Amino acid sequence: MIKTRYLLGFLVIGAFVLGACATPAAEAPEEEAVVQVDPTACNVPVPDSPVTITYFGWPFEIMEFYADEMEKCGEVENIEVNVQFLDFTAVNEQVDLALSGGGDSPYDILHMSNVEVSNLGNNGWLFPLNDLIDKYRDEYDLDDIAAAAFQGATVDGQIYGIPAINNTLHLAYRSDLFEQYGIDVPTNYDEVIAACEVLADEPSLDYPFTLDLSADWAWEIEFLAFARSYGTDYLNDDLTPAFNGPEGVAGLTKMKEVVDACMGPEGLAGSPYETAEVTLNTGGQAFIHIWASNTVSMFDPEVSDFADVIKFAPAAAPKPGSLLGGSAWTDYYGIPLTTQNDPELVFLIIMEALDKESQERGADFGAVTRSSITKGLPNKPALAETIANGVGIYDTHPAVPLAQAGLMQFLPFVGTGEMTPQEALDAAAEAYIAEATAQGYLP
Amino acid sequence: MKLKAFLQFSAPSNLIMVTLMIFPLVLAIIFGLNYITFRTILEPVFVGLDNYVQTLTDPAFWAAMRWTLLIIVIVVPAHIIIAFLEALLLDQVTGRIRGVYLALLLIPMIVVPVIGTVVFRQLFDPSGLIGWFLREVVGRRFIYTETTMKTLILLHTTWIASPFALVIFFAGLQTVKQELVDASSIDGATRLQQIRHIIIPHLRALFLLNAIISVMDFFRLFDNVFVLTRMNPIYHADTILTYNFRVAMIVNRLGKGNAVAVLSVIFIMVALIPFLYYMYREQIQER
Repeated sequence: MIKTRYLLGFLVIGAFVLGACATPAAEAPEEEAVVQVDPTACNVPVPDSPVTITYFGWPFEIMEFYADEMEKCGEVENIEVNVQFLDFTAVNEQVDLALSGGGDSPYDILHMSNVEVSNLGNNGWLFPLNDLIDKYRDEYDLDDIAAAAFQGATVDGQIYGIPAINNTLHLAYRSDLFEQYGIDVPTNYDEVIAACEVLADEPSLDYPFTLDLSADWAWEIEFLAFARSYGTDYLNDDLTPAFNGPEGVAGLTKMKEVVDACMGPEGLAGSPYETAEVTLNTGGQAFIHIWASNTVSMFDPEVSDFADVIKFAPAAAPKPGSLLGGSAWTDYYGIPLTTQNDPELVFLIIMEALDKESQERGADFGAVTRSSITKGLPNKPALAETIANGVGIYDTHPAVPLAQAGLMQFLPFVGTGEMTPQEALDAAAEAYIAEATAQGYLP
Repeated sequence: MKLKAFLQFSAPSNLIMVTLMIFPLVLAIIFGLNYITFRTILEPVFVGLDNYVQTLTDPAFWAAMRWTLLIIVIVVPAHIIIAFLEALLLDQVTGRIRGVYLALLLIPMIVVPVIGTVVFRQLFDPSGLIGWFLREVVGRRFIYTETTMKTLILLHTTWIASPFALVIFFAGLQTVKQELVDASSIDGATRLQQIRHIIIPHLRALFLLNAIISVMDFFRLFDNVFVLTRMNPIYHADTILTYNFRVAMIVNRLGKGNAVAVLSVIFIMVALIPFLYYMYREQIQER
């Protein structure tokens, strides 16, 4: 009888022999390897050495979506993406502090509104993107983004930002209350005031309507719309102040009338757009003047108690028959001139968030910039009409921020009645002239 | 100790002090003599004392100074009294529950100031708990006016300043000789008399220490004022430091901002002179 160990030994040796002698199977014809590129993944080239790309901006739904898209590039070898969010004011202060000294920028991707792009571009702190845009125009179909949007980020022929979202202020309103009280959707601020008077006694409301006038910068943004609607602008061609003329005073007077009729002291102080969004969702207000980017919660029945009845309309015109009271805002992504990383790599990471596929998905969170994308949020028509027929964008002249700073110091006192519109605008003009003269814009 | 030895021993701390305090202060003085904005930060223009003169003739500066001094006059004694009372009560508690009470009383110091202030403000918003209570139960809407905003600032500053003073007083109470307290009890002293004649004199130095530290801290009050007011000028609630911030970051006058900072340091030193003189006299008497 063969012992077990000999049997096993024969089996093992036999297996080796058979394996060595086996005829190899006929090789299957080579199939072309099909590389499946995940369109939602980040497809940027791998850098030679580890890099950390720092994104810096303020958060709301669509920008958080874009940041998430850029963070996917952290899955690429040697790339780490660090996303930092702060509130709008803090971002701009930190960027000024970081870039003004001329040293290496701690940030690589900057989220900027059109105002900041012109400020930073005029200061020479941003990397011009013209060459990169030309190089990657076809790959990312950059002609799908309106030329006017790029124009908003152009200073002296240099493009400093890639358009990411469109934004403006428009109306959001409770259609059920409007129907109940027989109110037509206001098209100008006289109708807004009339609607406020009708709704003043509605017991469920804290106050009928608010503009965001909770901070000095908020006053300035609204004042631009009112001033332009009444036919003036911040500065004359010779850079002397225009805003304190009769048209500016008329616009600011109209703002004061809205405050008195619709908001009162409580609404004036408690009107930040974040609060207004909550009070509309919870039934404390009938209609609000809100950023398009802050309306996502109003469609969500999990968040809003009135998601089924909240509707949207273009901004009302401060002066009847004139321009709508919403300025055109585009938020951009730009690259600091002193970025410590390869600007081309940073540009590609930005484009991974702004390519057509990403913006198709991003359209669920806000107003994307690609013309070919037709889907959007329910407020898209209101946004589009306000941008098309509104007061337009800020002037990009570097003296404009000085006018803004002067206005921010004094406009809020009109709301409390401490200053008349003429007094506030004259004081702002005086402050502007002093600064503009010191900086050489005025003789 | 010979001077040379003294200088050698104190050299490390002198070096740190010069690097972190004297050098920046000198730079601030120099920057305050120039016209500087973010745009021209690399090309300052010498303007002499213009920034200092503009600051000293700016009504907004003096309004901020008055409000800061009012905060000091109200909150310094208020938080010291509250902290002292809390320490006395805490000292009576024995067992493990004392640690729980101490932890709860220290919460204002543990919470990040900005976060705590945001939550504090939200309580008074129309959708906040206190705002709702006042509107629905009391029948009066809470409105952010100059008066209510300043009241909130005073309340919140007292709330966040008390824990530090509490810790100081509580530690000091552990050094009170129990024999003295027991002896006074035998002699018929009431608790109030014990506090007045034994405990307070024993802790006099700590009262002074808390006062000095809080005066310096309140001259630098910024976080909660910034968050509560959102830098809205309608509340007229700018402290020296928020005024400084407004000049430097909103109006974009960095040179003038440095001038404000230098003047603030001078005012703080002037405000501390009485306290420092009192401490000096105390030390001389003890010798």
